[in-house]
Amino acid sequence: MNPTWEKAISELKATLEERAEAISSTVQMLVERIPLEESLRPCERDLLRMHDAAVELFRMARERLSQNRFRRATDDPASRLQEVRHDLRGILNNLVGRSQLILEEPDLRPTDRAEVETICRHTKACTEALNAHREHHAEPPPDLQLHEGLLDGSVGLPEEITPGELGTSHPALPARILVADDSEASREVLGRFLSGRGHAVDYATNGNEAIIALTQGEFDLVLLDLVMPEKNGFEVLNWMRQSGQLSHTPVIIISGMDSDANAIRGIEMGAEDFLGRPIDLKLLRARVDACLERQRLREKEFAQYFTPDLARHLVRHPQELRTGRQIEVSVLFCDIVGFSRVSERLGPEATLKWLSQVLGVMSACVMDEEGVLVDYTGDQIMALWGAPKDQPDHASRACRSALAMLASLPALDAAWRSIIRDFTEVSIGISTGEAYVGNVGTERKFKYGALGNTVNLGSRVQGATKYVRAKALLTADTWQRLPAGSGIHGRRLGKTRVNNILEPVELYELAEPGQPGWDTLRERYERALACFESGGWQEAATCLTELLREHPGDGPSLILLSRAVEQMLQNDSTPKSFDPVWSLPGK
Amino acid sequence: MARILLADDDDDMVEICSRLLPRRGHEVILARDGADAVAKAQECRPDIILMDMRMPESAGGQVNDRAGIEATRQIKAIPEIAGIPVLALTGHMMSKFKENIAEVGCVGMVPKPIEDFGALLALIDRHLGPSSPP
Repeated sequence: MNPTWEKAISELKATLEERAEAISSTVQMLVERIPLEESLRPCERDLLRMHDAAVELFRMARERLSQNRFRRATDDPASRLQEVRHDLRGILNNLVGRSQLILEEPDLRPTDRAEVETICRHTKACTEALNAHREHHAEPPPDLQLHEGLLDGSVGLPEEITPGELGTSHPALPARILVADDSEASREVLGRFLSGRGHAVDYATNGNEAIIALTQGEFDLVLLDLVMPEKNGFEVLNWMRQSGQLSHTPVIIISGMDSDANAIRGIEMGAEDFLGRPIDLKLLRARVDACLERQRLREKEFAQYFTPDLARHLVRHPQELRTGRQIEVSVLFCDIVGFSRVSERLGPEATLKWLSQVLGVMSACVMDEEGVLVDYTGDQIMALWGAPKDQPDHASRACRSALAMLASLPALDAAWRSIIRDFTEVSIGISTGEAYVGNVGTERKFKYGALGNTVNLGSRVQGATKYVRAKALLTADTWQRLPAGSGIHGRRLGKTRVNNILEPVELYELAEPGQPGWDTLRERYERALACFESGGWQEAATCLTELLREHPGDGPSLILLSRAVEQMLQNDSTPKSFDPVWSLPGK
Repeated sequence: MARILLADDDDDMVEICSRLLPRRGHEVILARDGADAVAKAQECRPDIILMDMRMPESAGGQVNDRAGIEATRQIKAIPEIAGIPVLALTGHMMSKFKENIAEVGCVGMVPKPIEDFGALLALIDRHLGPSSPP
């Protein structure tokens, strides 16, 4: 065979394959609408036969126009081609005829009409390719005189269709999908099918474009054609593997290449699935849905910890989780007060209901400030700010979250008081500092969390609330990171040595906004504290006694007064060196 | 409106035409091979014949590129039916075929695939002409 011939045949083959595929997909879209559209029901038989015809057209082009077939052939390639062309014409004839039958249906919807017209356009392109090829065979064009009136009755191009009108039958969970395919017809059909299912679709027409798109955007799924110019599908797959994209962006390979070896090779290279051409839309839908479902399960796992936005982000950038790092964070521990008492009284079932509602509200307070829900341990929540996403204002966020928790208590208490016959209260501890954050679980079981002294301290600070009689406590490091004008108020409670942590920590009480006379209370308390710390116990005690007359319920004043009195008594009997640091008796 | 003989062995073509043409008031008579076409032409006296060039010459026979030409030649040799216009349906575009088609007396050639059935119908109407029986 001469090279011109070879080129012509391979071009014809490519055109027919591409168009056959587009026809097949479009017909399948229509078939899918049959159960939902009364007006399409009379067309069912035609559509099914058209689908068979499109598949046959594709198969015939692929098998009977393959170069190997022609090279191997012992007979005259020209007459062989003549034979193939005749058969192809028969199929195209069938497609055109049945399209005509459908177009004549009186109740056909405009959207369906547009689809059928699209099919006509593809069929026409096939016919034109067949006719164009004739020139290579020194065959004169058909006598226009003889079939006048047949060529000018061209089929109208479909009108613009909005994605919403297509595939209306299936509510899809929207995802962002990259379609990398050099065939325009294929891109169009895939794009319309996917956007008809509610997905956002981006396109790449060659391997390089695919890589650029993947660098610039986040995709839930990639449909990757293997045969493309610039870089082929395997090269794109290889790039995705090397850049780490493949670990979190599933790829479905689409290829009309003849052997299954490509499918196997692609899947070995990390592709999630394989689809042969012509694309079966039912299979495509099933595979796309399966891929997205797996992706969603991963997101769901992450959603235990993170806000939905962050979960989505992390599923796409899992490296941010896998590599742990040392970073400044704020951790918050929130404990439900009196849990064991209530649980004893209520029994497990009712306790669980109460617990889950309270923890639910507290968790929402964390999520509202875009915190990470690290853990629930029994009646306790641990939350984290500052990672995995950078949050320079992590301390403020933790404090605002704590204030929201406290503010939500009256409503919870009102709802549960008569049932649990007790108050619904929480105690909160926040600490700020360096921690190791990342996967603190194992390879087998992922667990996002933070480790380090900051975390232990946070837990102890929460435990200290019961000794200092405050609802929410901060460490000095947290307090100092609150910017001026943050609107967050508090008072210094003094240095404390918490259980198992040698270094004393300066504690601050977080004040709920709107407390009457808070500023004077804070000022007088802090003055009394300063007296106490410098050994002026008598003065401190006097000051605090006055203070308590006006604020009889102020826990920290009461505690400090008792400590001052204790010092006075102790020093009277056995004078010794005074350490203003308060060592808490327990956790 | 008119009686149309379709000689074609392609099931899809037969189905399409026998659904499309009656919608326009035409009666469709089917023949599945060359011999059948000649027989039905004599028997039913159609107003026009759509003759596929490639079909079996007779029932159960081999598909033959020249079966339609042969059948047309026979029809044109029978005086009673020689005047019925024959439109050749063909996927072949080779000039020698075209010459043959013209030689045997076909009034028109319709290339397969038929790009527009609407246009085919118009062509049929034109060949039926004003003198065609109602």
